[in-house]
Amino acid sequence: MFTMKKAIPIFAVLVLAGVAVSNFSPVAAQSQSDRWLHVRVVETDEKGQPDETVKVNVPLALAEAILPAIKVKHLQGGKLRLSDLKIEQVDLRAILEAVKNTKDGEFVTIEKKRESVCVSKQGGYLLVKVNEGPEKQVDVKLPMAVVEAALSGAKDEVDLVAAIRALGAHGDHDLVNVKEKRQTVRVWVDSKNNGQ
Amino acid sequence: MPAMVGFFAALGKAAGYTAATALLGGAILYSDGAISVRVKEHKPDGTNIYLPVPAMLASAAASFIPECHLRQFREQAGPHLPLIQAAIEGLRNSPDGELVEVKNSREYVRVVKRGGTLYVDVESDSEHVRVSLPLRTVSRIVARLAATGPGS
Repeated sequence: MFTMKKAIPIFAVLVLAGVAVSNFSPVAAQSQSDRWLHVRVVETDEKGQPDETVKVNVPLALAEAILPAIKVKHLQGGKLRLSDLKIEQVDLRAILEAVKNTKDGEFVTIEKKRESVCVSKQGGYLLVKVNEGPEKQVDVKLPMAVVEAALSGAKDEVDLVAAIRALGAHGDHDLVNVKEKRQTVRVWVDSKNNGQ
Repeated sequence: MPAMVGFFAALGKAAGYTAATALLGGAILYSDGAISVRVKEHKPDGTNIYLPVPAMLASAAASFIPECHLRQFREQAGPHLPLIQAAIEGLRNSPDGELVEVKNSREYVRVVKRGGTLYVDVESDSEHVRVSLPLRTVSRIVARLAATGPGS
């Protein structure tokens, strides 16, 4: 006979299961294959009307699959070798390491007559802002988790595959926004498959 | 009279078997989908072509490419084949969605992946071209082209 005594433990298990499922957030449940990297470039004419729109949507899983197969001089197995690159004698990895280990704040501020550049770290993001007045504005917002993943490999390497994976694990967010007089560029990550 | 009935019954059976065989053959032939090309010109007497090629047939046709052409293909595309194969496999395992869209006053280009097939649409003032490529077939063809041939 089905008594109340037997029903209570079953009910308790069902409630606990329900709580567990509801605590499993959608972002955490999303697999890497559901995440997309979007690039949108919009060019406008003299009247400000859209002249050409280019949208490229790449599943992060696709980028992760393709990157290790690219074998060019500096990029092998999804890893960018910095030792081969002489970026105007700048030690890119040392800079990124320093940024990673520093508290939030502004690192670089360059103020010129028609241009200002600001590099900072804030709320878990590496921010780069370039302002050239109405001519050009650039905003880069890179999660520090992505920077850390990129630096997780050997000393002279940037692990792009690890960076992509970290990007996929992060929530929806804008990476790059460029506004020019007749062109805007937006790069962002989300779970939509149409770049809207 | 009974002979006439028997003849028509046999004829009916033969027609039934032929239709069933044709249907089954078609179903097998198109079981992998079809590579299709549609070209429609935007003018009164313009061309309107629709060319569906069963994916299975296209895949088998790759076996008949002369070895000299295959060798030439491997020499030119060889270094890029792992990347091409990784891209195709990556696409096959990717979720469905719009991959590329280019829109301007002259043309509209769209590349979409849906249900294991890649669709490319190009709409211009003069024509509309639509190509559909089942990724499994493309993967098989590239694998066959990349496979080391005799003596190579």
